Amino acid sequence: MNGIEKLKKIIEVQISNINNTINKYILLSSLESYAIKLDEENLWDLTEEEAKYIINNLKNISKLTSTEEKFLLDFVKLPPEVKKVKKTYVGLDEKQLSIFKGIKDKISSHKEDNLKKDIDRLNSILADYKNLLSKLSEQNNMFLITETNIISELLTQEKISLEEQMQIFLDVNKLNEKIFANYGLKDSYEEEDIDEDSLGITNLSEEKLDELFKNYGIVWESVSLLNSESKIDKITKAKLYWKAKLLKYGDYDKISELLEFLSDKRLTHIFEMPEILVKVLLYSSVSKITEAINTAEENSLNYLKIFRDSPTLMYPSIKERRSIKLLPGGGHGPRKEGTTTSGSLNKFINNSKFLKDNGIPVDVVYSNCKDFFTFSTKTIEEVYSELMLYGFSFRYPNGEVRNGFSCLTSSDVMDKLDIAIEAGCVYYYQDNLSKLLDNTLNLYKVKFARSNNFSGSNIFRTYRQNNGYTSTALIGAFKENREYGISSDDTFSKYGAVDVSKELDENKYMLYSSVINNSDSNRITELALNDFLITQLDDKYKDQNNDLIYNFDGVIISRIKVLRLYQALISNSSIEYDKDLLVYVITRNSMLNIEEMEKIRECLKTIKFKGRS
Amino acid sequence: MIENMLLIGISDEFIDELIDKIGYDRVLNLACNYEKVKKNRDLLKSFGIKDIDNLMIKRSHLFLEEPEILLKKFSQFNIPVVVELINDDVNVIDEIINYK
Repeated sequence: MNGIEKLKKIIEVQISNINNTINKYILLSSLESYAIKLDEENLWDLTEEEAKYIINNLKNISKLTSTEEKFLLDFVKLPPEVKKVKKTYVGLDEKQLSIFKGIKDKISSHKEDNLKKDIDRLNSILADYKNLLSKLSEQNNMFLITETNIISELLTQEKISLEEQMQIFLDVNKLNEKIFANYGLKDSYEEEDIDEDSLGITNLSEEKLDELFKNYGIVWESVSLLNSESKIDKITKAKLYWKAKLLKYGDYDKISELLEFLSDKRLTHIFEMPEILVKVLLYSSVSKITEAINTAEENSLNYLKIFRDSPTLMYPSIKERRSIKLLPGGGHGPRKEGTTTSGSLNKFINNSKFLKDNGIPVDVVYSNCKDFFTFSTKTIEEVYSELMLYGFSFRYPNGEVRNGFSCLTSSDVMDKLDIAIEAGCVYYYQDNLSKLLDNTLNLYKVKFARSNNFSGSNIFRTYRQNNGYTSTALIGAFKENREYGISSDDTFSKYGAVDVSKELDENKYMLYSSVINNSDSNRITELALNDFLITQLDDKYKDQNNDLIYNFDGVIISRIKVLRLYQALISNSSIEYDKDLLVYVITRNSMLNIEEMEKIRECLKTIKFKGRS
Repeated sequence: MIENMLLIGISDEFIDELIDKIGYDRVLNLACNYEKVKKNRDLLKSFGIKDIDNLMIKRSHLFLEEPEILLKKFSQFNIPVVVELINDDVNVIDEIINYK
């Protein structure tokens, strides 16, 4: 774990501890006076109801042992006349005294905590920690990390070794340098696309280039044809465009070295691909291509085959000016000057490393998805970790690697999985990973159909694969079924779904949405898992057999959604704890009718906020 | 180079759509292998797959496969039956391609 991740983990544990302490304090300050003043004298007057109150209210803080609970409940049930005689002549025996002392200590120690803790001071510390956590976590954070005193105190308090402390501070410094880079004050450590304008003009002689090319069997027409009146076909025109670029920016020595290297490595197929050849000669190098070849060979890939299938892997990423359409989709349309990127050499190296680091055979992925190495490494890593958060696996139980690595370029993966969980069909995505790429898939329809007792065998078809494992496919007739809607909006309308944004205070909704839209909301750590409200939700509503769901009186909600959104929100110092917070994280993106909303609200009445329902 | 796609009967408009949907480099790689892409398009069309263009958007990497291997994969199945399933749900083609 790197220094930043370690520091974040330490801060999250502290936030969780402080939150629990604050809740303990507030809970105990709400304990009835008979509980706080309980002693050996007034114990004899304690009623059964009062005993149950004490047991229930200490449950989440300093739970009574089963012996202590039994003692209290049995004691209060003694007949009054027996109690009177015992109190007058016998009192509590030694064993009873010992148990009762344990109960009193638990109440008293909290009273002491209550007296000792300064709630305002705790809230102030909490705000500092949340601010620091936010700076460490947010990708586009622009604020330098200057809380060295807080970090130092925290690391000392947690008894982190000097060596680890040094590493953490080094990593914080590196992070600050990255933040500086975003100001444009220093070169970024992030790899950037090469700008085509960064090349220096060389004005290479066409005669010299043609002579060099002839040695390798490359014969291209003269660029003067571009300006002549003769009609030339599109393909020749494109070839001469690239030749002109090579003449304008090409370095003769570099070109010569590369041509010899490519010949030596039997990569001469690109000699017939003008665009690829020119980009390699201008932007790539012997050392870069050698590194790519080594990566291929280390991962049992035939480099000749992969560079033939995907020649763009032979040069790094270049930002180019190009005429692009203003409107997406097919057909002619207005165009403008824009930029595109081309070149995947570094992605090939980085994506191979990513697969290897995660124990996935590179050659198997390549054989199933030849485009994989053109995908952005950052996107692949993010989507992969999101799928892991939901317990997805890229392997069958027998270890065989699944298909569908193209899914690692999908967008909004977590939202899609939440919808599938709440429709009871997340297995569809596990069986068909590449379906995550489909942004038009409407799985809300499955929830609607099932709520109307529509048979599952008319929604999904199950079939056995040759590896012995079953898989599922969505039946075409169900996709076309209009009764349950075609688009999500259509399904929502037919279902009678409420507008969940209206189910809580408008300002809070906007605040929560703003925080979520500006954060990754893809982390679940002790910060959420140990939280006072989440532990109550888990205790009462987590499905015993399925960690992915909460069941609110029959209303199924994605638990992973609740946890990750909750964590993102409470990490933000402007968010306060209240019922609307829970309503938001439970209902976001869910399709819920009035009846379901009512059930959720009823269930939330059992959740204690700051010691009270 | 991308213009090579015109040689196999793919229109300018569809080239633009492909670039828009799958990115410039993936289209460029297809264009660099245009002869193979044409063979695969013709092969899949001959099986009865209806929307080849959609398949090219959804599973572009298939068109870089060797045509002989594609043919061998399909030949292990009742082709009319699997083609009907593929026309219904394009994901089914993954099962055909990865059959061992």
